[in-house]
Amino acid sequence: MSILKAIDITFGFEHDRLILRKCSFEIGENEFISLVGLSGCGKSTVLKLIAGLYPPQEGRLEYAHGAQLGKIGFMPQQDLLMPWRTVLENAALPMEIQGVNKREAQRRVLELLPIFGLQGYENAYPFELSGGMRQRVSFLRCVLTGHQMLLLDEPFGSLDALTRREMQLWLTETWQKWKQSVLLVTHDLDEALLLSDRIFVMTSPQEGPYYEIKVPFPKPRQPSQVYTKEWLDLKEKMTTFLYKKREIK
Amino acid sequence: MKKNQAILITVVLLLLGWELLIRGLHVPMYILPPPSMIFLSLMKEWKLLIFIHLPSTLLEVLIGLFLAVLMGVVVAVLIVFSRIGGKVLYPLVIASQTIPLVALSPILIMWFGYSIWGKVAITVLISFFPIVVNVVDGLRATNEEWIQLMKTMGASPRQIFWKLQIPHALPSFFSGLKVAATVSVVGATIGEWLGASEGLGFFSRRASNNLQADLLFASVFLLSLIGIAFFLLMQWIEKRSIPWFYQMKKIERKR
Repeated sequence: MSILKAIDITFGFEHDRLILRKCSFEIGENEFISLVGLSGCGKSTVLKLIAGLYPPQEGRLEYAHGAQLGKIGFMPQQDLLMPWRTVLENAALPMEIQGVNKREAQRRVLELLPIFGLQGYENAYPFELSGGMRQRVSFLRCVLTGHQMLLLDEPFGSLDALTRREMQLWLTETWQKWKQSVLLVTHDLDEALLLSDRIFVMTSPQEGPYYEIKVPFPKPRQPSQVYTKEWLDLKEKMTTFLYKKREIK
Repeated sequence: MKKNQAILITVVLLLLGWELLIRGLHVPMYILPPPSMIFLSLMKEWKLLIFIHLPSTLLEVLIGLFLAVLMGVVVAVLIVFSRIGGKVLYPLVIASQTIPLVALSPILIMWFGYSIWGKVAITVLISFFPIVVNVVDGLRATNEEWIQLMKTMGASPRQIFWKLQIPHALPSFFSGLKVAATVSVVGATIGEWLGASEGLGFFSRRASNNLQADLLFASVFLLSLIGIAFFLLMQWIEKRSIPWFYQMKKIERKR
């Protein structure tokens, strides 16, 4: 069962510089997909396109759960937490917008706080938290949209290397609990290999379907696997494609 | 506490210097009275000043400031959210600040006579400007990424306005309000100078006409006290309305 089908999507902000041309892909239920590409190739734009913030110029997006705005969880690159809201109020925002009653919304936030390592911080303001914690609140807010499809835009991009790895491991462990599909944008190949079922490698501009890699390792994956030969081989394959796409064609 | 002590010491030293300079140089009373004379005349006329003139100026300031906040916020919202508003209203608002108030006074007296509303009108004209400018800036400063995030949550424009843009503009609004509160006293005073039968501005004008510099300074002293009091009041309201903003600034300063 696919949760999202993109069919022959063409999109670009400027007429002569397309980001996507006739690009098709499919995301399955409970599938974790990473979209990797060099900086500035338009990865974030693809997420916003799927989120419904921009309409595609050509082609169409088919969603299993209906119209997109308000039906997909989106986690932006910066945490974008509201400084006038506490952790509890920030995380409850999507439910507030959906009209869930306040007590019920808060109950659901409090239930998930321990899993996100935020127990006891419900009344803290974002500026009182570390970068990693803010990112977890932002992620919690995304999960609490309650939607079947989550779009994560370089969620760990602003964190230092150690915190980032810690967050990735935490995500691989907790991921099993949820049945959502994820599309993660990243430029960290290890992150993509650590978390995903499939990896889309994006070129600029992206013509036709994505170059796709199926990650063969069973989940959850261990950080030590990063140094195995199979892992490095896959990384090399992607790197070669990213930098020398003409030769591969 | 240390800051307050420093302010107190500075003020006392300034007053002392003023007093000694006037006495030493034998400056005539009608040019510049020494602080002791100002204080004495304040004591002599305090009933008149506090019970007749102060309340009428206060009332003008209060009504004027209230209307200025109301108008300022509405105009700012129109400027930001309506296409025509931004093009037409903003230049008009700026133009309104170039009007010489003294030239306006005959018109205001024709419209409102010597009633309180002429003074209120000038107060509003002066103090709604900082509110408009600050609220417009505050509303326009909302990050597009934030708006997009709320859209992905399915938020309506109304929800984006109330849950994002308004709270985001609040610190800016309060900056404008503090300026407005201070200049509103100036507005009321100018209004009273142009035509009134009571109020501290009226009192100071009469004193000035009679060359009673000590009384003039006494009323100016009270006027600046009102200005300071209003500023502090707005700051107090601000601290209670957006405590997060103060906490955030404090933490950011430490980093």
